[in-house]
Amino acid sequence: MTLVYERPIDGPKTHAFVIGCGRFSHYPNDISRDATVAGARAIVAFLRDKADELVAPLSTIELLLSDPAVEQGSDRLDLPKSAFDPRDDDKVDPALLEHAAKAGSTWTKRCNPGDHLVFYMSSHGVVERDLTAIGLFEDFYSDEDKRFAQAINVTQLSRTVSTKGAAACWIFFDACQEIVTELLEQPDGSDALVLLTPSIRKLAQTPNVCMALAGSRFGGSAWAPKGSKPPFFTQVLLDAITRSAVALMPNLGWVVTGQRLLFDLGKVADASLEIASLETEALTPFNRESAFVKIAAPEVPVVVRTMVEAHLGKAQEMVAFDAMGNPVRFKPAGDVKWRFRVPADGARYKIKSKFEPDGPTYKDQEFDADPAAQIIWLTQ
Amino acid sequence: MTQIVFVHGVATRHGGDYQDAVEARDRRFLDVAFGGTQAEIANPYWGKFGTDTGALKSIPDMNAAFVALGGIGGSKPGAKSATALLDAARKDFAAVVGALSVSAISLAEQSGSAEDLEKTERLAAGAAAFAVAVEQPAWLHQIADDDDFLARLTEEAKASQHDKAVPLGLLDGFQDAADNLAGGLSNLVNGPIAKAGREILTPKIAVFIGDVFHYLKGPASGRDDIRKAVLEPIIRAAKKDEKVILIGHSMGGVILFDLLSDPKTLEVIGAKTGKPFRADLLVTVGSQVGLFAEMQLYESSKKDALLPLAPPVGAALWWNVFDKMDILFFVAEPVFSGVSDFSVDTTAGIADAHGAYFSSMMFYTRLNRRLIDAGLI
Repeated sequence: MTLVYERPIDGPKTHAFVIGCGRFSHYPNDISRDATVAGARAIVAFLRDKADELVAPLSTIELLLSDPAVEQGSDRLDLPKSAFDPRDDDKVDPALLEHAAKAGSTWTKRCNPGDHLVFYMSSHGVVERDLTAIGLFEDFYSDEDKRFAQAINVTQLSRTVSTKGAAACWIFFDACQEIVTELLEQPDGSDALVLLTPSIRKLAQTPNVCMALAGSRFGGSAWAPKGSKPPFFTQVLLDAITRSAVALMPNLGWVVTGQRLLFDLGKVADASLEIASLETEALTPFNRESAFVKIAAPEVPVVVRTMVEAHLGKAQEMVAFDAMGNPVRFKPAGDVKWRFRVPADGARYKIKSKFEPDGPTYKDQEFDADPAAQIIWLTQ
Repeated sequence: MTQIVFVHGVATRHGGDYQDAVEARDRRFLDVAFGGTQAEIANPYWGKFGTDTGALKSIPDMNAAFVALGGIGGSKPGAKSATALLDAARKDFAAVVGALSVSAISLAEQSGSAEDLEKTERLAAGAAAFAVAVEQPAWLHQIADDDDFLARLTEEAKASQHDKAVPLGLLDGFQDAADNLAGGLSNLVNGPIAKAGREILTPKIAVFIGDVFHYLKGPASGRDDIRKAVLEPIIRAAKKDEKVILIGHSMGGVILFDLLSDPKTLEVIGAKTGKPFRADLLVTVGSQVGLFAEMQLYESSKKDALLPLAPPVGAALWWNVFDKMDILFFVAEPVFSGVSDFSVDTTAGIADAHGAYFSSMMFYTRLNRRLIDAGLI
């Protein structure tokens, strides 16, 4: 296990367990992925940067990395040193089953009533016959008799982690949920790591406070850019938890909520990052008003489109006016995309457009600056 | 004025629709790729010096004694999926637009109506312009099936037309093209190679191999004749003291590379024009230049040369265009310095992809964008 952040906190606090696995030492083909490690590093950076804005301030981060750019034993965090980093050097343990079991156990045992638990994993992923999502570790395929055992059952974790008494749990799984015949043919399934085995009675007595979201649907794929940027789901998640997936809550102000993340991440992906095809899936039922992180001045990403998209680039003028009639945003002439951000204050805006005399005409369109994102279609 | 010399690829022979194909290709280059700028195209014909394909007895006649064993899930499924196009477009919108344009233009060519062909080309050019401008339209995720997809794409294609002088009329070109594509789309959706048809590929590959070896065997085989046929229009273009752009499809790219990397050939051009020659741009399309360089088959090839090799001295700029579905293309970037590979993917069936570049408006539109960016038009 690798503790990369440790800060004593009185009262409710957040404990995080982050895994980025992009090196797979035993699988016969090259399936390495740089983006998964980049995703894990970006999440660690986010948690450290927002340590005091988290609804339960950050106390610890356990991290495992298997970076395809280096050999096993040379994995590093590669972020500026934090004042709360207890390590002597920058080394991090690789994402092997053995380390994950230890770090996972330590992470769950740290939880006191009222704390928050955060779990993030980016890696390759598969699904079991019972539809559970499995994240693969570096050493999967290392045992010819148990080829998929070096993995973690993320769905099972999502359904059981609330029994640790946390006020809220946040699970983010950026991986495919691929259907692999070889795994389906195994009568007992993967035998992947199960971190908690609470009794049915305990489960029944515990309300589910876990918001668990995967960056792919059952049987589907998660995607990542080639190179060293995080996978797309993680990019969208970071955008949402940094700026836009907020609701106004008494005593807290603007906070990122579980409901916003569950229902609005696709809109944020489209409006903010031009990712129209993000398909997320909740790994466990969740209907709480849990809050994750405070945002002092949230913004709403806005994308404006014409019903015939090709017309957008032909507009002579396209302007967003505020409620006082002042022009506040202008679409650059010729641009075939128009994205901007406005403060998340609920203010009303109006989009007006002008085309050539023999061109199309589009109606004015109003929108309110309500989170998490606004997708505006102008109609003729 | 820009002087363009287009060198055709293997298995191109006079007769049939050769002249119509040249005229259509010239029109697409001038209207779309060169965007209506002043340009002149020469089309040297070297096919008469290639292999006599009629004499090859080893090419199996698939229509006679052989039948496929199976046929349950052939390359043209009987039951058309209502979302095959849409599914493919969500994965690669530009590739589907490319495939539709190839299919629509092929159908229009078969109809024999010049007016239909021109209208279809304009529709396809509009769709390609849209696909280049908007990589992944948002409405792809809001529509339900292929009918919606074709309706929306046609709207976008109309709106993306540069030239409004010719009305598009009733355009069902994409609908027919989509029906015609049913088998080819499965190459994208179900994975490449799966639906390859040997009955189509074998003769093409045989002729390809025949022409290649015919050229590479040496002077006596007709190589000198081929080089001469290609060199003459290049010299004529060079004499005009204007921009010279050389475009070679498949083996045509190999021939151009061979000429432009050979100092003796460049000396000949220089002697005839009275000044050193360097083409402003070489475009190789669906070509094998990289493979043959690694096999050291050119005049200029040197034994044990380390990669990356130098680009041809006779070209200031070199672009190598490919379609990943084309089994006869090879990339050049890993083999040469100073070359840019770029793709104009279609979902055309694997058997069609090698010849589909010049029916794909995505090719001309992307080329137009690059020519503008490079300051060549």
